[in-house]
Amino acid sequence: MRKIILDVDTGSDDAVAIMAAILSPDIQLEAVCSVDGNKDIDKTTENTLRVVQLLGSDVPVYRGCRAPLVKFLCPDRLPRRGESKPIVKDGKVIQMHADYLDIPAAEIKEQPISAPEFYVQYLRQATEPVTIVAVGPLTNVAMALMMDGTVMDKIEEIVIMGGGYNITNVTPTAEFNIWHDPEAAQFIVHCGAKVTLVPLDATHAACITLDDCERFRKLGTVSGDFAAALCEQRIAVHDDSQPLAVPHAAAVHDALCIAYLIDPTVLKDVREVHCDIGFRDFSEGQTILDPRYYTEEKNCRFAFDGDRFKFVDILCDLFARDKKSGR
Amino acid sequence: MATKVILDVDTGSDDAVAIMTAALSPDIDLVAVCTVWGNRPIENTTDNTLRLISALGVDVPVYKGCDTAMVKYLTNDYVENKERPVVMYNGKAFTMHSEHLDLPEPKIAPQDVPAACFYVDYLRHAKEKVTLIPVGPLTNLGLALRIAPDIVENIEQIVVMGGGSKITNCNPWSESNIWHDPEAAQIVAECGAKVVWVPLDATHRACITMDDCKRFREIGTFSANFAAGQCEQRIIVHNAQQPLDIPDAAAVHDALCVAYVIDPTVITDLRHCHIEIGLSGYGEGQTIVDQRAYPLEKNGYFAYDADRFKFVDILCDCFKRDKQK
Repeated sequence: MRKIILDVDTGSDDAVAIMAAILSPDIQLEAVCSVDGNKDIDKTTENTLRVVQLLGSDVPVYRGCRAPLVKFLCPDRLPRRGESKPIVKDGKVIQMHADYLDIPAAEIKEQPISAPEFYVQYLRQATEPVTIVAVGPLTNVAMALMMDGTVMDKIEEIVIMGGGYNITNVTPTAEFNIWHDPEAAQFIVHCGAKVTLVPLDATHAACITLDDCERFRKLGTVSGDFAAALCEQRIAVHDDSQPLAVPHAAAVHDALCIAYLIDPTVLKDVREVHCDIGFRDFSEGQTILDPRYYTEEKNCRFAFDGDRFKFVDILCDLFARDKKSGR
Repeated sequence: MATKVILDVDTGSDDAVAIMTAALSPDIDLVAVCTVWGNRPIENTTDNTLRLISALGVDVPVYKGCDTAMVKYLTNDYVENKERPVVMYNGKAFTMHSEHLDLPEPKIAPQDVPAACFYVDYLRHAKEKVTLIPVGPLTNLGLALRIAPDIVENIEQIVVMGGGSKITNCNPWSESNIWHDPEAAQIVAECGAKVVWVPLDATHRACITMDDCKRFREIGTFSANFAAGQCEQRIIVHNAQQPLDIPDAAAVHDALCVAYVIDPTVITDLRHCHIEIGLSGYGEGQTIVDQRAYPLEKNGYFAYDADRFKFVDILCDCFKRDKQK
């Protein structure tokens, strides 16, 4: 059993990741931390609580940072340039991430301390190593490790959904999670822990199709149904504004990080690289990989490909374990 | 009633004077002392703070803080700060801040919580408002305000030692505390709490002379003697590297912030203005005061002048109360 802390900005694909982590027999989910990202912190926290509640889990949820470390201190940063537009289908507006997930409002409550405080407290007291899976901007994790660098040896691995080499989304050079808090990302890739980046190159390869959604639904569980609905929503938006190589398919980025913990071979072509994050001008938020033969020291692992069939099999196995039946 | 205060220090010679003043003043209830990197690495500034608190024999918890700037050193895209050379005087080497304060090993240890976590936890649960006096780089507060912006509700005011309008020390445009962590300073500048900046413009005016040191020594307490030693060391370095208008004198920056909380009239020209911090290039760490007739929204108070005689009187009053001889 691998102990993990999940850091999310829920978020449609975050919701799939949370469900997968809760249901996996290979993972002991210690806590879920929310962060500012896909939506503001109030929404990502509420949405996270909704997913935890939907599955009847008692995993604690910690509210994280409201804004990136320093990005918006000075108005000289690069604005978002081009993005997936909401689409209207059957009279309904469909977005990559709805403001609020379409499941019951949370009655369960977040914990009384903030996410960075939780990280420091947890890691200081930990007797076994823990893996941090951060699938939103890296603000909370960077904050915690800036406050207390002595807890580094408690971290087995930091798995990050973020970045892109041949594929980007929020600007011509950047993926959203990294672009939203580039300084936090640069701090984390150089923090000295084992860092595995799961970028768009891998998540777009490990896409989920409408046929896969049907498989989720056939499981007849709450998580299977909800994952199917979220993936269908993503497919509708992908088809409209970021069609993938496989037709009628969507990347479900964040969940791929959880699948990787269950079976590392779901990521393919994982290379040791030297990675820096661009801060300014047109490189803001870019995951810059050193392609030179005489590269600088390698500081993280970067996944260039993913196995979509294995990914869906892993998710199906997990959603089948859900004891709550759907519909 | 005594003002509740949290000090944030990178001890540091003038930090030491500030700590003693705050710990001894009847007008201040010193809740905690947080340490931060700055004048020296965090291990030294923490050890020095613990030594001084032990020597004073006061019961104040010490929280160890951050060991580097929030983001400044993440790239090589920052302006280098040249170390000033050591000053030789009577065959002995002097620097503005000794690596170790000349005091016995500490008898106390830091608390088991990082400084930034302490701020968040303490301020979220505070029953009355607290005055913060950060006199080193603003890293701890920058993190705390980012983690929990709501803590400003329990902050009475933030009295910062840092910046300079007409006087700088780190490079042509910046003062050391602000230059060390400009982003953290900007977070503080725009946080919404009342922020009073005590910059070099004020601290160089409120200088302490060799004669003042003599006055301290005549008091005969531990704190008075120790403060005299710190100030004399600073005067030697000032004379060699940054002579002030008044001969044989030194700025004792950090202590002026504490004196201001004890008696606000020690600052004689405090202006309400818009203040922001330069983050890069030849502006990195600059405290920019908007002096236009149509300034941006006023977000702080900037001290342009101070009363050196009142400052010394305040310090003497505090050192007299010290029970350690």
